[in-house]
Amino acid sequence: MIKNNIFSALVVFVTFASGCATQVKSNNSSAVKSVSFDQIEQIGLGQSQEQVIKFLGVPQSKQDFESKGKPFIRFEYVNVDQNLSQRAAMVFDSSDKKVSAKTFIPTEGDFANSLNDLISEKYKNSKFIYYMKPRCKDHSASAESIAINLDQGILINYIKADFGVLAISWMEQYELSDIVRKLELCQKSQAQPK
Amino acid sequence: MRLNIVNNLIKFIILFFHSYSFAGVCTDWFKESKIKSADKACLSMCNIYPVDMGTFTCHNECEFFCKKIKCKENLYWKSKMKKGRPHNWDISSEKTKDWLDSEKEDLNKTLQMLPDDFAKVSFDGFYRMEKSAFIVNPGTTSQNKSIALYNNAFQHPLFKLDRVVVHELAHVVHLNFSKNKIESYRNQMGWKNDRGHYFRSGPFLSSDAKESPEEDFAVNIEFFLFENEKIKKQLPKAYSWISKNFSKEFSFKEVCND
Repeated sequence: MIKNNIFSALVVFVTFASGCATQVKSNNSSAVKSVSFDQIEQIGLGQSQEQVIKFLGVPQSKQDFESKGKPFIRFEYVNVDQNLSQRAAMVFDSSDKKVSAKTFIPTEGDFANSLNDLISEKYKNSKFIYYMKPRCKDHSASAESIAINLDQGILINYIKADFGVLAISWMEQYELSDIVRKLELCQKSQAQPK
Repeated sequence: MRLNIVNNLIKFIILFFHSYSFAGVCTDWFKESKIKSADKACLSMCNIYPVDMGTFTCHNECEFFCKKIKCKENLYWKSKMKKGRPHNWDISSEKTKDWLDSEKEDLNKTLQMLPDDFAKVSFDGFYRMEKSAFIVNPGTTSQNKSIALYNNAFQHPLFKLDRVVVHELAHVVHLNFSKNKIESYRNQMGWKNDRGHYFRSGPFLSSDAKESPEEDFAVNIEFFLFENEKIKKQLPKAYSWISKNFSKEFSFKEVCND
């Protein structure tokens, strides 16, 4: 009787322990570090898809999409330790598979999480133009503002109230110029009587 | 003697549960009737609403269900109904208008039933404006946390004032959020950013919600308060986020009707 009980306890223990081991193993396998600001910053526009994979690893998801009639591929990297939320996006031109844009989402603990820290650390001597997100399509105001540096092709989405950075994107100058043109057009159209 | 006490106790328990279950049945019966206590004809409608074997005594409860609830003057909301033009209104083509007494009354009734969560955030106030620069738009919230209510909020058959008010106040709540809160909602709903543009895969409870995370949030707050079962079923992630991040009393208060 006692022997039987010891045996069953042993079986339960082994089962439990092996379950734990599996869990630890799976945690380890997913404990890949989230990509960092510096990693994303170092990737230049025009670099190949292979180079990106080599540098950042295989993305968690890939999507084909079209923008202005042109096909693109988007790689998405997630925050491995925070609900698998978005960490970065790399956009490739489908025709040559080269990086045409990239986006990084900072989280708590990243210096890039605060607009002041981001600018003082990385873009001290760069000139940014600040835009309130105009209500062009949306009927109501947004908590977000936008900082743009046309020369470097940088767009920063941030929260006006606490200067928390939501996303930093790098793109071709012509693409950013197009965004600026639309922003200014929208601001003008709001000011004009209808 | 002892037997008598036991008998009386049993009678009491039976009576108690009998009336208790009737109260529940009648409450459900009244709910199903869709008659609102605020309806002027509440009592007469209730008295003729069909009953069956299980609800045959419910007409006796009509007076209770249609009881008058005094509309209390809420000084906070009263101070938020403002005259003139909102400070720094970004669309110069939009003109202001005077409030009609009936509009103020309707707005007041809506504000009375709002959960207190809306009164706890920084908010400039409601302004009455004529026509929106955007076609068929009933209301707008500005960066300064002012809400414009246009003619369409009061007159257009597509819009109901209470839903418009809740939707716009949800924008005000969102404008008060910190980066962490904004991000927490976006992550929960799966919003993503690519070169400054936002997108997420569906479902959406209204096509407006696709426009941006802010619109999505305002639409979902609206559904949480007006069509709670729908959002619970169709967008459980939004439902659980709102449940976690708003107070336990985040639902409408009783409508006043007197």
